[in-house]
Amino acid sequence: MTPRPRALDVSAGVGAAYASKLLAEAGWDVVKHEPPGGDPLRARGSRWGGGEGGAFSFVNQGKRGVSLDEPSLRRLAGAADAVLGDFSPAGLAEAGLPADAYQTLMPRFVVTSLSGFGLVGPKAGWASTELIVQAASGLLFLTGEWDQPPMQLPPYQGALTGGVAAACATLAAMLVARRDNTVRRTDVSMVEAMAMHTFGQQSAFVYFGEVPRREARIKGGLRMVPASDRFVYCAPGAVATMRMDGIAVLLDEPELADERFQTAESRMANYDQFVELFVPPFRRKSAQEWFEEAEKMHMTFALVQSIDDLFACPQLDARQLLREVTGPRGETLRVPGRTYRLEGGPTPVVRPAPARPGIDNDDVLAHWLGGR
Amino acid sequence: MNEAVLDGIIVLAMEQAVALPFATRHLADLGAEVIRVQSHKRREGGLGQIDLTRNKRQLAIDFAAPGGPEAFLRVAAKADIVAHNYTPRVVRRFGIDYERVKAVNPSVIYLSLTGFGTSGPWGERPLFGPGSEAVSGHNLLIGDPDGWPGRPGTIVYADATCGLNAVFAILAALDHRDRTGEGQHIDISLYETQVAQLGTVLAERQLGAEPSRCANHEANYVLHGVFECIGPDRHVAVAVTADQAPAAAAALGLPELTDTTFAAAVRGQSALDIAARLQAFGVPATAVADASDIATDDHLWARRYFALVARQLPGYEGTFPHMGPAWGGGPAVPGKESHSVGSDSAEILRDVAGYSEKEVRALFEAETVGELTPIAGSRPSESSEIRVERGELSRVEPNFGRWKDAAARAGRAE
Repeated sequence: MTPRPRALDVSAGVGAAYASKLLAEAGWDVVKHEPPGGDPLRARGSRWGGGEGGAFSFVNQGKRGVSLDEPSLRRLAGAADAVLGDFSPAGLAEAGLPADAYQTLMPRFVVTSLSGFGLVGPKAGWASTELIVQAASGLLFLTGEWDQPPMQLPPYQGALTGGVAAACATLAAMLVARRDNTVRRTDVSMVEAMAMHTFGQQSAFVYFGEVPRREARIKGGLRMVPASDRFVYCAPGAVATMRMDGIAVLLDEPELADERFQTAESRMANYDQFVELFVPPFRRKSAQEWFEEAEKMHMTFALVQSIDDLFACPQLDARQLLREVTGPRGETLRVPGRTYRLEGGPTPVVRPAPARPGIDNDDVLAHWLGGR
Repeated sequence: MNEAVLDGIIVLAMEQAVALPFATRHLADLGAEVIRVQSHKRREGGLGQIDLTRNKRQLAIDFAAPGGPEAFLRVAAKADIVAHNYTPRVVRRFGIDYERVKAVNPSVIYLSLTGFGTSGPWGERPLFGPGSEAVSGHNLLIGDPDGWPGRPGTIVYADATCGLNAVFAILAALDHRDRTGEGQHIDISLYETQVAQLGTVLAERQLGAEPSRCANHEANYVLHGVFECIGPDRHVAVAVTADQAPAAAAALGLPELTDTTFAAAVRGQSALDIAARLQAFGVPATAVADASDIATDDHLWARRYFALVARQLPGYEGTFPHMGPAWGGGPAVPGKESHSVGSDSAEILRDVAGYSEKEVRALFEAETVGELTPIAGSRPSESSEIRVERGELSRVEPNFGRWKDAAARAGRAE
């Protein structure tokens, strides 16, 4: 058996920690370094208040934990294939790293930095948070109702997406560095990662000067409508080809089959009439009933699930997406493991996030510095 | 700057819609030879396709015609990666599922990208990206508490997220194969990757948090949200912790920092200026960027974020900036316009799959393979002005060519 590739995670937040979590799920041996006081993410609560340490537990599962002085940290980095961190000026301080860490830590193949705006360029020094990343990427401008200000996405979307991008960059650099034994340093920006979502809007601008905005009502019908008990997602097909004649039968509202409502443009032109016909019939049945009836007619409705629903979802259960890990105060938590299933390939080591900084110091130093 | 790390890697992708084409375009950006398979008996197009098909070769197969599945399998036998984003039922019917491909290519990396995954009680259900946002819990967390559930601002949110996870899974599989010689079947879904994006929320929920729609509220900050500035639909986004409040107040000369004093101080001001003033004091802030800001951002141009794609399609002649890889640095290979559907069919069948000229001709005659003439991107049938009036577009900028000035400032003028 070949040895697992090794990553040293020197993160101080969600982003780079998520990148190295993905590597752990892909079978890598990942070690997380923290300053003596611990990663500040350990104490961080949710957007809504409460939930302290939840984000830490999710993104740091599958890793062993160390807390080392600078010389030992540098030696450990030398035994790693990759080092990943949040190498912005603020991230360096919070992770207890020297200012030159990005340039001077010397793993075998790759150092990956994840930061809001990146480490070079006119805005390299800019302070960022999740909201700032979403706003600078062009995505916030597009999110929310047409008659309201821009609205934030669910928590940590920029950090997590940046984390997936940073994990990709790490692997791409690793594949090439292994060929010529020269270390690569990659500078990944969460803003750029999130901007990937706006490629359609970018083209509208550079080709035609159009600046698209929050579009909730554009595609009239492509949205959630209240059923008798809760919301149901009621797009009867793919956007480009969405027609309303099928849904007219489903809802028993023949007028919806009128030509006025068969394209996105014509629905926009007749928006108020469309809504008056489209929305009220949904009150007659439950979301589940509409979902099942639509499925029989080959329309792709969806249930609008809550976070609590996910814990009881038969599909996630059958796919074993959620796994049990120990939370910050010994709780049992069910959180997503590897985001995909594998047939063949490596088996990840399942373990909870390090219970405290440095808990695996002896074990890791012996294993990584004792020779392969 | 990315390197052509996948040079020599062959990717065969039977792909449609967005998620998988988005993933394989990233592989093409890294130098892989990506062969896009679609039917020549069905049109799929539009301007957005350039972001999904650039630098790909095009093989058109009708899987229902005689020899269709065999042609796919003969190319698959030579590929490093075989991928599809059809339902499990379709892939079984065509006879190109993992077992069949593995039989002709034992170390293949095979990726199935589906709505819910290829197994489980919902495994045969179709699902589009926007539906996966609803079913995974995202939509109930977006928007005003008194309003209806919201959606992420682009139609491709879940597709792009899932696609990027697929890129990771493929690169990890290549790394594993390099070290062990072993292939694998990656079974990835829109639904599960969207649930994974809420992993922090699931954990926090079990530790006492109560997730809900809360507009732009954030409990970890004393000032958090977007505030109206001068200009149409123009806002500044700001996030201030208790520690940073004195700095934020000083930046704007406010005696006290509250939502009200901040809103009053920035109303009528330039969002770009306010953001720069706050950043000078170390306070996280930015103008809420729209497409115009992104395309003309000196920062992104300096970082070589954009892929410059040379185009010849009538009506689109010239070089245009498009989204580069999500991890930045731009593509490793020059951006070339998509080939038209099926236009590389003969070459691929001959050079990759080893068909003779005669066999290739027979496949064309039977219409098992074919080619479609290129079409211009589809455009909304209505004018920009009407779309502005309806609130679909923020505005139309007459001098939109100024992205070229930003490109020139970064030394990237063509």
